[in-house]
Amino acid sequence: MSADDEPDARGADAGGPTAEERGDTLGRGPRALVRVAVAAVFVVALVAVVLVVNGVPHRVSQFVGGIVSAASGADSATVGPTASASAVPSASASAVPSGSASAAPSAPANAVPSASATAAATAPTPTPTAGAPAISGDQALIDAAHAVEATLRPGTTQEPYPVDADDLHQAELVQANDTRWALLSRGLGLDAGAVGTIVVLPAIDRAYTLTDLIERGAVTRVDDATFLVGKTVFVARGATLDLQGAGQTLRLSSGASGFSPLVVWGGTLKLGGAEGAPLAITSWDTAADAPDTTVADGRAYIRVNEGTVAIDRVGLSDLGFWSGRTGGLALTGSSSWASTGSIANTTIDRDHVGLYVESAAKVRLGSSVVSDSVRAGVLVGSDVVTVDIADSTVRGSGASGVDVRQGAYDVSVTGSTLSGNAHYGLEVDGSPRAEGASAGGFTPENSWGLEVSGDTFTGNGKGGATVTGMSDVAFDDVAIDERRSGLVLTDSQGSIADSTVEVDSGDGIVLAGPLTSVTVSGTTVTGTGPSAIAVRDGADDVTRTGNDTSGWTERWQALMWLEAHPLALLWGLLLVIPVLGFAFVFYRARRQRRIRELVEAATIALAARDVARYEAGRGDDVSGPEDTEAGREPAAGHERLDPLDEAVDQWARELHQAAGGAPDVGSEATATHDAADEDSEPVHGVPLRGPRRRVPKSPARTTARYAPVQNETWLLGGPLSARDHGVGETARPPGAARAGGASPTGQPVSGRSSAAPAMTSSRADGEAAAVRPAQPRPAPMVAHTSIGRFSSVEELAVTAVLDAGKPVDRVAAALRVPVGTVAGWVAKARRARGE
Amino acid sequence: MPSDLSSFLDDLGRTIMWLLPFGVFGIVSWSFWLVRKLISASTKPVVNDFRTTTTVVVPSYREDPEVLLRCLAGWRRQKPSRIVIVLDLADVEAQRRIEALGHPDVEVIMFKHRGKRSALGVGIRAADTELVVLVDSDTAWEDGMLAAIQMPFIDSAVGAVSTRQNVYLPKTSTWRRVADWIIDQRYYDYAPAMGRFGGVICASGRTSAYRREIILPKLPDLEHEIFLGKECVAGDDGRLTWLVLSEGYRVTHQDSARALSMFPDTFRAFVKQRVRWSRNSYRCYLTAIRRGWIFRVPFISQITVMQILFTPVSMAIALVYIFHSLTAPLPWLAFSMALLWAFVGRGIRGISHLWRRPEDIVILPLVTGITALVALPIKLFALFTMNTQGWLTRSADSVGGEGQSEATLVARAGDGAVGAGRER
Repeated sequence: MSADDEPDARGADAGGPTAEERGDTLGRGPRALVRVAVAAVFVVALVAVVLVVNGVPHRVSQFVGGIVSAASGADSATVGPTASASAVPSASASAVPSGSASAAPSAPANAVPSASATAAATAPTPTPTAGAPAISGDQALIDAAHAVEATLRPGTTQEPYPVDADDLHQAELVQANDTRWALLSRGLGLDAGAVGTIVVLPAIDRAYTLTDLIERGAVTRVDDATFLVGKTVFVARGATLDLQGAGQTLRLSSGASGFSPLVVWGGTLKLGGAEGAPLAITSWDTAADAPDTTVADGRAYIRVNEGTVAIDRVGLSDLGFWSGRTGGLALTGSSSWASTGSIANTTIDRDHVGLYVESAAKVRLGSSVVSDSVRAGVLVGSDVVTVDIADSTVRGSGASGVDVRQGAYDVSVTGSTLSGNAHYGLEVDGSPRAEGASAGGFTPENSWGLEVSGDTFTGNGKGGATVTGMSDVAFDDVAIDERRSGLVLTDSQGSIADSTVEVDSGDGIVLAGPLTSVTVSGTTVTGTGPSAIAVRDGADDVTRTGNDTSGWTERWQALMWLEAHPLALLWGLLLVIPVLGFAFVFYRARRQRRIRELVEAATIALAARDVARYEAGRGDDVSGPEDTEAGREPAAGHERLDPLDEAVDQWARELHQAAGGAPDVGSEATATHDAADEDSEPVHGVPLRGPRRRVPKSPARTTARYAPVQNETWLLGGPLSARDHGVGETARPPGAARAGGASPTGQPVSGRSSAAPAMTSSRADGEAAAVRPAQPRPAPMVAHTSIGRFSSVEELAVTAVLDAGKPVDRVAAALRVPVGTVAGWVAKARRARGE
Repeated sequence: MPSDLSSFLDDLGRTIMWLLPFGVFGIVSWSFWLVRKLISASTKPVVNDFRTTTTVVVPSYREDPEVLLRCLAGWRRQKPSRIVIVLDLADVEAQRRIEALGHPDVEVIMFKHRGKRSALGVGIRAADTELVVLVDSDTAWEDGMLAAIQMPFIDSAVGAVSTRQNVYLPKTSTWRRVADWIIDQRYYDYAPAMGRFGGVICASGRTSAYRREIILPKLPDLEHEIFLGKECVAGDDGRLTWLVLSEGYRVTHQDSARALSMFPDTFRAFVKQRVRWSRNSYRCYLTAIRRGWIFRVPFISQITVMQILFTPVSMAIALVYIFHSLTAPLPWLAFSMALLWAFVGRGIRGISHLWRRPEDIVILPLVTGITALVALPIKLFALFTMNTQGWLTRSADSVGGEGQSEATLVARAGDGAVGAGRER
């Protein structure tokens, strides 16, 4: 609100209406008070509406209700200890211990290690999945977990966190499996849902064989060479399962009704075939009579935990889901007991994760092929020491071929081929898992030991290899042929020697980060990009000796980025245009503003002169000296007006010059007196009337006419100046105007001057009358506004468009008239001119 | 008990959720309002030293001489070049009293009125100055009105300037307070926004200024406007405004030029005035559309014209929503919430007036009702009786406008500090 809305801001005693007449009868203080009250009413009403709409009262009442019921629950608990607190669905914090205790009356609850184990223990007679008989009790475990969760989570009305149902189910299956293995490995027996679906092999003095499995009902024979594993096989601590079957196929049943994993917990797993006749192990959906390709309901897998594995000449396919440890073939351990083993001459096809290694030591993958894994081909997790991948092929993985995570040491990849993986062929993160003390108690030291030699990297999506934060890195005799990125070492220390790196377009070798300390020697880098061996981001300890980068074509990074993002160029260009346009518009607006200011000053001066003349013409009987007001000159005879005229002349000249007009135009005009004006007296001819010219009829003539005039006023951005600044003026005796009031033709005559003499004479041939038939032809008068010698904005606009060839929109903008209006005028004038 | 309460509140929340948006129409209408409000709030009056010759033209028909002379004194104080008062032949009392003053710059023309338009034509033809300021005979000027109204004319594309008006002695009648509220809304929220783009769609006739040379050739169109075969009597201001707009000139609003005008103090006269204005606006805007002038004005003016024409429709939709709330799960609650929202919404739209005159919050329900009354029945009635010509509030056998004579301001007779006396 502006200050003049205040009652006192406008002078009430200056003669205008009083405060009472305006209705401003409320004092300042009461008004402020009432304003505050009104504002408060609105704010409260709006806040109330918003709160109600957002359901806040509902939530508040729920909260209050929760407190009330909790209080009453506590009361009843003190009254009688047998009260079933667990029956209150919205169990508050105080109700939880009693709730969980009372809900698990029959299970060995004292020994349960975790909440999910509680779920297993408290499961009330789980029902197997409808339809086919369950081959594993996973669903029962999940249901039990849900039941426990329901007792711990009061807010059942909350919107569920958005998750994919399939994803959630897979995660729950993994959790249920973990729970079961935890129970079994502690000898706590089976959860009820799994009874009859698991065959546990305790430690005996010999190795279990396929025959043992058949005898115990875990395996049924399909034909001579094919066996179906229908139950989960759990090899307990100290036991050994030895399955040797050249050319045989072991099908792990896996489908909608559950799946049968092969789990070794602290034991030994030996799988073997023969050369040319491997032992095939695959998941098997009995309903579809085909390998299980649906992971949403889980899929069979092989896991060795805290154990030993020896696999030779085996073909694994279509195994695993969701996590690394259930990913297909997994070697896991604990901080106190690592797994170990070797896999040789083996193919792993279409597993979730080809080989997962975590908390393991001395693992070797030799002469094997890992292909088409859903996720990584070989995933090396934390707490792993010494992994050798030798003479193997990892291809077609959905992530990186070999992915080494934080906390893995002494990894070597030798003589292998890593190709066609979606991310990198080899991705290694050796950076420390913690910078200081942490909950996990990790070492602040980074990982060390990465040997890559004799390998081939080709056709990987993101690049050949990327290594981060690793020490003792040695790339030797490596051949990398990639599209975008060859080899990236970030904050790593080591060497690259005798290798060849080839990229189509991008980075050959990138050494980045301040902790980098790398020697590059005897390496050939070919391709196109910013630089063959790029050193970036503060890397300074880089030694380059004997490298061959002659096959490298340098290209700018920006150029390559543009090539990779071709649309960006287009967008960029689109941005440039408005930027230039703005600059131009700004420049023109500034110039026009200056001209406008001058025009306004001239207009004010001319109007003031009009007023003075008017008063003078009426005589001193009307306006006494006391009538003098700001902006109005006292009427005091015509000779007193001369300084004013001069001021007007001065404005006009300035205007002309500001617009770049040649001074001589003005001086030429100064001499001009219009004969038509001579009947009016007194004559105060204001100079700057342009030379008289006929208004050209066609644009062609316009061009001819305006060509010689270079420095004219461009009020409209075009040469109109000879007339624009024509502020010439002859006064008309005001008395005459008052007395007459109408021209001889009976038409009213404009009291103010409206048509310039030049215009009048130039249009005397009737053409002008045709243009504006409705306009009365006033006696020869002169204009005194920024319109110049035109009798109307319309005339000016039409001349600017038709004669001066200015675009309609610019004329409209300059005159601040709608474009459509100008266009209409122009059309009308065209018709009138017969064009 | 708590669950009962929570389900009750839940229902309440749903009900309001269902009602609050008032449909797409509400959103559209509110966003137009907001845009215009923002533009209006950011539009500042033109300030410069442009002063030129001005003739004040006052058509006066059976005006209470007291009112006329009081206003005349106010106009003279601002020193226009001339004042031309066009009286009806029967207004001899006023003629005698004005001429008795002996002001040489005040000219009285006796003329047999054939409606306000004819008187305006006579007055404008009699003027010989750059600008003519058309003033109603019962309109008083705030200080600096005449200076301020000239300022926008520095732009030669400006053909007319509208002024900000309020109600004279608003506290003498509830109906005047209501009128003051409604008119404030127009000048706070609408006129400046349209004036900024040179497209004020009606420079109210109570006080407005025109470039004489523009309207002079258009006087026949003003005096003899034929709408569906009938010559128009009222609605001179809208007609003149559109005649100027149709020539491509800008019509701007000068918020610093302020005037106070007499408004009726009875409900009957209030309604009559609204009916007349509604008819005028329908005729005026339909003519503008028919002649294609609507396409020469800025977009914001086009939108405003459309909104004015469709006011009955939008108000009908709003009312339908309000009454449809009776079918909600909690009918009476929903209905009262809808009504409450109607009041609050009206208050928000009138927030500028409420800021200026916060004590008017007490007439908020009345204003809400009157707005609905004007927007639906009155406008609808006006729509179907559009071509009924007549002034309704002024007649040959009474002095002053109905409910607008000096006598209606009785409360003023006291010590001068009254005005609102009747309300208190």
